[in-house]
Amino acid sequence: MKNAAFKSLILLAALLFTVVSGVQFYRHRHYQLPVVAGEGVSRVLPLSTYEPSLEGTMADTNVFFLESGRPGGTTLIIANTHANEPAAILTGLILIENARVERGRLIVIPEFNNSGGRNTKPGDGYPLFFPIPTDWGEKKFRMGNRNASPLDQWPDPDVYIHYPDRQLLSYLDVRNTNRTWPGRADGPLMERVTWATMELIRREKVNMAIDIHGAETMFPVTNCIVAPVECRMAPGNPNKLASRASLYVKALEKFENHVEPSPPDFRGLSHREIGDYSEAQPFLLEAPIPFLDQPTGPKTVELLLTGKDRFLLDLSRKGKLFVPYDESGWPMARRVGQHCSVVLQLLKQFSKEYPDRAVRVSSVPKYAEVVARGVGAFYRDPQAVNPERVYRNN
Amino acid sequence: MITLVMLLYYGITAFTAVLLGWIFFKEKEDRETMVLCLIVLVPLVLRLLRLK
Repeated sequence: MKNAAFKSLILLAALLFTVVSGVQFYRHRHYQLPVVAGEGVSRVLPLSTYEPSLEGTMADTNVFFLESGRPGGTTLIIANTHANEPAAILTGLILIENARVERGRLIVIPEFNNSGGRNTKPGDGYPLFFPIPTDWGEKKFRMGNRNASPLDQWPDPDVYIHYPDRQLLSYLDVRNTNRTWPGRADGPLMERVTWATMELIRREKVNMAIDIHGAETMFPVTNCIVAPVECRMAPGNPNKLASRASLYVKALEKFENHVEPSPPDFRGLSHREIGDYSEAQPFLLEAPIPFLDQPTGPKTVELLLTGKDRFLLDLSRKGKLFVPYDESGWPMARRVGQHCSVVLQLLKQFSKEYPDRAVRVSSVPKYAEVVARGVGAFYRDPQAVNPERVYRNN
Repeated sequence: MITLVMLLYYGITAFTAVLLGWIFFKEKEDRETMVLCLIVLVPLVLRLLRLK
């Protein structure tokens, strides 16, 4: 009898736990982030336009076109390849809401791994959402995960065999949209996402692709631009342009952003495969994100937004970090500001090198302005604009 | 093919969940087994309900 009472009690506790966590997971997965299309946005298409098998899946995502109507080049900006590196989506939304394209075209995919944005990492205690303060209140963002949700692509293989190079990668990388490039039309869902984007790059004649990320302060490839020295198909030397952009931001805007070469034998990465399988020069931007470092305190919203952590501070004093780090941490505005400035500088350098493929953009804030005013200053209230200009991914 | 493998995995998950439920309800003495069954069941139920 005693055991029967115990059994009922733990069954009730398990049910309660399942319902409470289930409701939170459901709300997280189905939250629709409102994206306000600024005056510069001329049209919005789903990614499934380029690979119809994505239609109706959680992998489909909105693609924003900002077109000047004047001849020039086409640049693609990819954000949230890894949805746990949120400076990327915050930068993508600043571009969509504010950028005016005066020459050529800008294409922005703000929630590239849409399924990854709907995944979370409860084992690491990830927050489900985070707020960005604005003049009109708080804009709520979903904190996603590095890989697509297993609800959308499951099961994982024992080892992921990259297509088409057959390099052996971690099993998890089958859901990582920065390992599945260039993808294939009949592959697993994430390979179809990168395939669709390769199709977009080819059909829209994209000349430059910029993939925005974040990386741990203890990881050497952080606070940098990654670009290949040579590509199989894309012309020129993207690494040279990245070096110029790096020098200009250091001289003019006073922040460090070094250049890393894209390793030719590490397959599946955007900064490798895009240039090898299309005419577009690829670049990948990394800004430090202390939240992702392993030896930190709890993974709180505050850590995500401020980047302040006393354990990292100790490690910094012992010379274990790859970026300068002090009591001020690495605030989100600094990371997003860097991304904005580096994107603008890459556009400038590319346009200088290839005047016939120039993309000229205005009204995008630079590093100092984003740091001074905060990220939220560049977002509009979705309730206060024409509802037809507000887009949400399903 | 991938869809077929996925469906098989859902089948295995459902089978394991039923098995664990059965063990839980049959167990009369060992409290550790009861608790263990429920802890293992939670993620399986969440997956079957397509919540996580």
